Amino acid sequence: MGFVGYNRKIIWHMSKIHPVLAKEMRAHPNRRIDVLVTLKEGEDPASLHLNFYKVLMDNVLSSTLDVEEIVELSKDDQVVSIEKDAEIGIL
Amino acid sequence: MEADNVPAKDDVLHFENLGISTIELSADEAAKLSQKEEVLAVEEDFEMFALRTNESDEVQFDELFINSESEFPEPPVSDDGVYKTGYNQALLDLFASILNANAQNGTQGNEPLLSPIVPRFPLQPIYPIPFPKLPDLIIRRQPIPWNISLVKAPTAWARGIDGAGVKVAILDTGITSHPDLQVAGGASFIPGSSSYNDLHGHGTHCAGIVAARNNFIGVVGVAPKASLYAVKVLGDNGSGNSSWIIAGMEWCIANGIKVASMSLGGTNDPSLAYANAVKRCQDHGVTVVIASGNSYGSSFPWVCAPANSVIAGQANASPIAVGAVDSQSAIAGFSSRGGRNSVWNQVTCVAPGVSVNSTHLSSAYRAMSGTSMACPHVAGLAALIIQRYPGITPANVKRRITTTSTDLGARGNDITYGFGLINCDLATR
Repeated sequence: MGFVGYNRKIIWHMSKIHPVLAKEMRAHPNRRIDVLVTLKEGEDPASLHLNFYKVLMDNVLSSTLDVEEIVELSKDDQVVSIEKDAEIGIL
Repeated sequence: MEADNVPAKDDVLHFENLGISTIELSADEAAKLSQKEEVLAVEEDFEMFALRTNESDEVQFDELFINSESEFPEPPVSDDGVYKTGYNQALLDLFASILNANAQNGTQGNEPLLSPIVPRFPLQPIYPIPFPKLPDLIIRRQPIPWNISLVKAPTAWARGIDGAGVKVAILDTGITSHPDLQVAGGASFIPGSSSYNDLHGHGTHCAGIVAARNNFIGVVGVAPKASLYAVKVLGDNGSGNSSWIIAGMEWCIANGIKVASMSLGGTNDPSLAYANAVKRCQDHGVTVVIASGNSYGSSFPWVCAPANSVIAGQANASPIAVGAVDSQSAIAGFSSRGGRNSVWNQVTCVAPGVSVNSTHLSSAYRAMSGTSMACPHVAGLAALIIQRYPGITPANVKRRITTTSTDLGARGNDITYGFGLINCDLATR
């Protein structure tokens, strides 16, 4: 699915996608991106059916997804937010 | 000589273990006593003197214990040499006894029981006995860096509040071995590396600000007896992924850490993942302290992520965000400010962050600047508060810090200084 051709429903779900990640998706629509996924409290990460993920905290996990997978994931009601696994540095 | 046979006199002094008594007798009484079978010997109780060696040794002695010869009183040896005579007589008696013993026991071809003892130097008595003067004492004190004084940490220490027993984790580039640091443990979340050793220096610097030991060397931290844990979430190049950092925060929960000091960030909008991580930490009793950022003057002058973390209606989702001031309590030019969005977490308070000297690689010390340096001051204060009030919640730690800070800048809580400069003394009363 091309990121450019999203419909209104997708736009609604896009609110779960962090602006920095959305910018990355637009800039690199064919690239796989390291992401952080936050679930609602008590939800089971396994139910997301991701091919690869790592649970960081009970409701925060990391994964590497392409743009299409990110958009699909954002439609899941268990998902609260999807963000880029951003680089952080010393201050 | 048996004690029972000692004449009963008021001035008798009997040394039971030695079998020796002292008693004042006339010459006749002494002669009679010496005839008694149970008495081994009757000897005059000679006056004895302290000895001094010849000049060559005296110099060495002087070098060790006195500053100048003039501080020794001149020995009042009388002209008639009475002290010398007594001393020389004692030596002659000693040699005679040795020679006599050798003559009696040193039989054919055998080694004498006692070797001749020959003093190496001419000896002379002195009086009174001079008490050796000790070398001038070097009073060793822990240097107190300006930043530690500014936040009034020593006043809290004076009341026994030094962070003892409180686990503080430094989520950074790791901590290297340093004589001024004592690391209790840690973990690495850098892919491919299990060591939490610091090859960058940033984490070691922050660790020293929290808990450099009060040990007479280098620097001292805000909470010098806190237990330091190195949680390596940034690589040796000084950067890392958010997933590593959140994994490190989870480690803090699992390992009973009470304070997480995070001198890291990026110029990003608030992250819900971080907000959840901060909330989970603080819900589990881990007070999260994060540097506000060094981006003032850039295109993103506001509080950086993850210090800006927020979830509406969830106070625990926001950490203590720390800005930096200099030694005059003026805001550092680089220190990020609040104000972009009133919903975002704002600057909570400020602490020293300009030219702060602390521990570094290779057992060295280095002055560094940044809100990274301010953050561990507040983490150290959190440790002091937790020691003072065991069981206090992170929300109340934050409340104690904000309500006791010295107001700076605009009156009350403002976007530059937050609630002001932390005060370790007031916050732990």
